[in-house]
Amino acid sequence: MLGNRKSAVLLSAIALLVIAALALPVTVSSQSAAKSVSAAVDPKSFTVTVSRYGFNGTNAPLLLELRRGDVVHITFVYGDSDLPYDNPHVIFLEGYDLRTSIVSKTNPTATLDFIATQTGTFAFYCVIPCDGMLNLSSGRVVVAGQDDTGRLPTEIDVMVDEASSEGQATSFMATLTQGGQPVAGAQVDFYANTTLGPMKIGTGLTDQNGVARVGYTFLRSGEWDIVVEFVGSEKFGPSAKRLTVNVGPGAREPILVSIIPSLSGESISTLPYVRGQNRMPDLRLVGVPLAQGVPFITMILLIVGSVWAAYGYVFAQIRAIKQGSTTEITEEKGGGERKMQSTPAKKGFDKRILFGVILLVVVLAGVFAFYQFGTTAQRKTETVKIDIKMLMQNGGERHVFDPATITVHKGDHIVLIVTNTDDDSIHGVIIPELNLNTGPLTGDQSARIEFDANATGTYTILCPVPGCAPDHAQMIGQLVVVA
Amino acid sequence: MKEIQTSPVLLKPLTNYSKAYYAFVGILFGIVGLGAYAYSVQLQDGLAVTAMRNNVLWGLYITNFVFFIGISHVGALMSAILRLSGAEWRKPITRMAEAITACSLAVGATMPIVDLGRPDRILNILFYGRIQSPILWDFISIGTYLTGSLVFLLLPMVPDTALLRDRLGGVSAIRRRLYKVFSFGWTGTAYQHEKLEKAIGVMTVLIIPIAISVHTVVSWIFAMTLRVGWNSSVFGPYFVAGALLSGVASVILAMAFFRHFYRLDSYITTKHFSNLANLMLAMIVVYVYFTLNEYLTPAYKWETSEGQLLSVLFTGDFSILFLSVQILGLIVPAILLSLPRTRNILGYSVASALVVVGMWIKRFLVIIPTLARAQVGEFWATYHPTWVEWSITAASIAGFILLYAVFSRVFPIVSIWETEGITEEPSDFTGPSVTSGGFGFSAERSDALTRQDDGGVDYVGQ
Repeated sequence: MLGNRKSAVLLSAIALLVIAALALPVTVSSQSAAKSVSAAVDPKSFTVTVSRYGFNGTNAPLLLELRRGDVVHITFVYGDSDLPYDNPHVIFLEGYDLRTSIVSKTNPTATLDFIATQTGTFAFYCVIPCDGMLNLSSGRVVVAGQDDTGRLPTEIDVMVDEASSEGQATSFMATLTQGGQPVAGAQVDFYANTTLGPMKIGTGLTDQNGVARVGYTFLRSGEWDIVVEFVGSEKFGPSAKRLTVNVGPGAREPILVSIIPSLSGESISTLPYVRGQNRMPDLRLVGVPLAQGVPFITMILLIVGSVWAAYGYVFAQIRAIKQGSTTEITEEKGGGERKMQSTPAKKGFDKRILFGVILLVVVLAGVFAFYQFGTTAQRKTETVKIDIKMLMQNGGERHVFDPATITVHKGDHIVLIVTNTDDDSIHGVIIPELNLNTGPLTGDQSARIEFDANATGTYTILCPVPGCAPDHAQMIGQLVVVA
Repeated sequence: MKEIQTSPVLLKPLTNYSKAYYAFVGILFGIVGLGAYAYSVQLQDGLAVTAMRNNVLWGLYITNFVFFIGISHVGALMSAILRLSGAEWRKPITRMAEAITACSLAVGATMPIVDLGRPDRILNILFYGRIQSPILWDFISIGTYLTGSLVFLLLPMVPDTALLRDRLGGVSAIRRRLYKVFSFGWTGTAYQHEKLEKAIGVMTVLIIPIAISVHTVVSWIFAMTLRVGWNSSVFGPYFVAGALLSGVASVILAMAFFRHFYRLDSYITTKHFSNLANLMLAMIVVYVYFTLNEYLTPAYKWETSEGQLLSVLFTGDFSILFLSVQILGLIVPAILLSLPRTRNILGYSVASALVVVGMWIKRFLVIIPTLARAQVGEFWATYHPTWVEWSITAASIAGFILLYAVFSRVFPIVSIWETEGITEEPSDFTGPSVTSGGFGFSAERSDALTRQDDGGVDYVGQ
């Protein structure tokens, strides 16, 4: 069989591939790290530039730091004036449920005025499709707790091991004080902000010096946003501290990196870094009406059902085999001698199995279809048409939704048929709050979107195609859901 | 009543376990144990213990998933196609191929669950699955294929299992029970033969479109996602071709292993190797053709993001892997399979090993570089698989081999009733204790069969 020499050839070849596999990707430059930018013009007033590159020209987190009870005035200024077309934005602040009017070329500023009554961290972001929408998703309003219950105000200070690196424990030391004096026996929580929200990385109790210690091993290098929080007690008020930790790369380098310098990732790091400009809406949405159609789902269920029905036929054959033996084997206890017993062969298979399987498939398909369509079927369906029209007004073009206001009833299943009658431009309909989008429609193209009107309210209708026309920002309609 | 001639050489592995076998199985168990420990760490600490993050969100687990689903094709497709085409030479190797299908599918289907992090969330597919989603298509098609391939494996085993039930002495009660259950009361009547042939006939026709659909749907998981490198209309047939290629290579490796260690020289002949080598060579040509289509069309246009991805594959960080697949995984095996000097079992085995490893890397290259390139912005994410991922990957491979090894020790790896009397040359093996007589089977070997000079096998009925 395999001689030594031949075996060596085989092993060498496999080893080469295995080594190649171990080289698995070596990367590369990472995204520019997040950085905290304080945009304060006044302690309670902020001016934020909104552009396709993000807030204040960057997609890094923008933190607006407040104290509870502050009267806040935020001015958003349009920053895409260099674009030949309009790129409107609407900024929404979570928690306080506030939104600006449209910030666009024609309406270059919009404001948010509120009183910081809630403590915590609240995101603000652009809620309409625009160039750089994803870059405009990292705004944060941080409202620190201000004691108003008579408890003693506290302060927290944090020190971190600067030499932290990926895969190695990093130690945090938080000092909790009240009027310069240490607070002992208090629970301090440590969080790391992730793309999925805050992740608790540890909890420590303060000692007699007011110091709580926590160790954590970061599994990814880069900058980490850390929040250290004391939630307060009967006697002491809450306090929190944010900080950024730089975690250096670990020692995990692929084997080949040290052997072949070209794999070290330098080549890719030279690629130019260009911020994302997500100009196109998700085109797959255009196909949704087709993909959600009953014929499509019925076809899938029929194919799968047919296969399982054929399985049922095969199972029936197996049962027939089992029933069709002319001899039956019996074995005496204790492994004794085996005997044969004759039993009459049964003709034909038990058709009940086949019918049973088919029935099961039909029932399962029915249950599935009920969950797919059931809720829709029980609702009253209301069909509404919207045309997107181009009108000549005062010697200029004006693009409108016709009708501009649609009224539907809560609880109905709404079928919205949108037609772009403007042959010269691409438009569409988007209702951000309901997550509905026709995608871009060319002249005389129609789209059908369906949804359930579950909640009363007034929802803004916009065009999802930035720069479709000079008056793109003025293309606004309303969907009113009444009880 | 027709009697089945039983060759002791086919039954010996079922009763005689050597120390080497126990050591081999022990090592495999050790690797699976390491993987189980790694998985327990992952369950406890979450997917943060892997290198998968918000950019590269599929890593080794999904690579393994696609790889094993690919390998699983060979049993169903090869066996079914050869059955339909009446290729009699297939008989000694179909069960090996079918068992590869069942074992690899069983391992491959667990990989997405491992990748979930929270395994209980697999139930969300049942409760909240949308039929419009390729993920659900995948779930349905793999479930259907797993069922079908198990039936397709078990059906042709019925007469052999009945033989073991009646004739194999000195086995545990569990195994006796196993044989009794899976022989479905088989006694070899004409009526049972008719039903068995009918069932096999239906499954043979059915399993081909199911197998093709499964890997096509697996490819759609990628092709229907709006990502650079995955926007391809040939992904379906491309994946099917790759699956067949890696599957045939796996069967050749299995044949070489069993021929050597189970002394099946008289059943697995050079003719089998030669035929499968030709099939593999044809699949390499097909795969190269698809590869050319897949890379030449975007490379000709060099659209910005596609061009950047291709740069990384052709000359950048992934180029060593990419070129390894093309040269060591396709060109070298093709040469080995073509040159008369290397057209022997060693050459076929080397070529097959290269193809199998190459196809695993190919799966990696389909998934990782695309995900590493960010959707927004033009930065490249990092992905260095952690020890947890490598351990679970090693465990999945060991688990597959373990399942296969145990299967071959519980059921005959060569179909006895389909190959009755087919041997190339007399074996010097003195077999295990096989009781004779009863229920239409005979333990004596047939001397009535001869091998034709051209390498083909002549079948002589009893």
